[in-house]
Amino acid sequence: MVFDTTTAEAQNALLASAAEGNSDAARVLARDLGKRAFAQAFRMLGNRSEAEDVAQDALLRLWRAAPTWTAEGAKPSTWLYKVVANLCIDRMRRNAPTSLDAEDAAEPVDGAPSVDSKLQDRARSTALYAALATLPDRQRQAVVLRHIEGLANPEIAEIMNIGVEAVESLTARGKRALAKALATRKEELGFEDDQR
Amino acid sequence: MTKDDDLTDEDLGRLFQSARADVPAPDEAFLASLEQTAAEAVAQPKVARVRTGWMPQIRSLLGGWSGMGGLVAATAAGVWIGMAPPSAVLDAADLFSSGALETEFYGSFLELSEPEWQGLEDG
Repeated sequence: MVFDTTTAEAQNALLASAAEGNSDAARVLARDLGKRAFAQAFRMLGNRSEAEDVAQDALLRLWRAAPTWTAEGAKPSTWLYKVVANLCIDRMRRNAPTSLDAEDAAEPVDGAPSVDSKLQDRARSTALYAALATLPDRQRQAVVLRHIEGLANPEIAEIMNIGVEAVESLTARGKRALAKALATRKEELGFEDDQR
Repeated sequence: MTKDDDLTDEDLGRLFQSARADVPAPDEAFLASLEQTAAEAVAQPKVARVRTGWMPQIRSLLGGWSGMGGLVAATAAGVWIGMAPPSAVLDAADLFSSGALETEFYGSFLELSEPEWQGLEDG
């Protein structure tokens, strides 16, 4: 059976079904939300093993919340973004600033992009994650959610428990800091090649 | 390093685009373990912690909606009978306010003769 997991209604329906003991629904949600949680955690922490721990912990919290979940509340994926973000910030505060380890680099999803394109994406994302690691926690979180996860400002505001204006301010400051931090690597990132 | 050397918005946009394309994919074994954990977590029956207000709690104490209905009906009937008692029902309030019982009680003592009084006093 194919389950839709894209809309809030579909996610809520799956979660309600899982809470009633439907293991198929639980498996579908676990796979879909687990990928998102892992990706978000990896982008914030830059470490596969830690990202897996965070994703696992966040999903366990979701299953615990499932019996009392109300459809009027947050969308499960938004709720999970929030939990993952908080778990990541906890870890970032405990650990020294992280940078993306080459061995931990993301496995690209197989698809159309050429090898050159994949390599360029890898080089650029590695540089970006390294620069992101130098930002203050809240700025990093806001930039990742806005510009990489692609969430809208109101959703980020809900996740971070702040106002939309504060989100705009954090992302703007984050971007300025990134622009400055990456200035020395401008040449190696090949932006000039893009314009040819 | 001058501000002109900083990356432009366009440059940053390209970096973000690369990061979005370079999707961190979790291991299949890890996803399988998430699925397994999920299936086990929901298989255990859980009692939902339903938050209830004072009304539902009282309703539950009184035996649910049917119990509440019976109680309300009995109360309404009591009030109605109190306000407009049928002729066959003795009006207890009238008995006390009219003093009929008192008169009857003391009257029975008045009818006692002297020796009977004496007998009562001697025990």
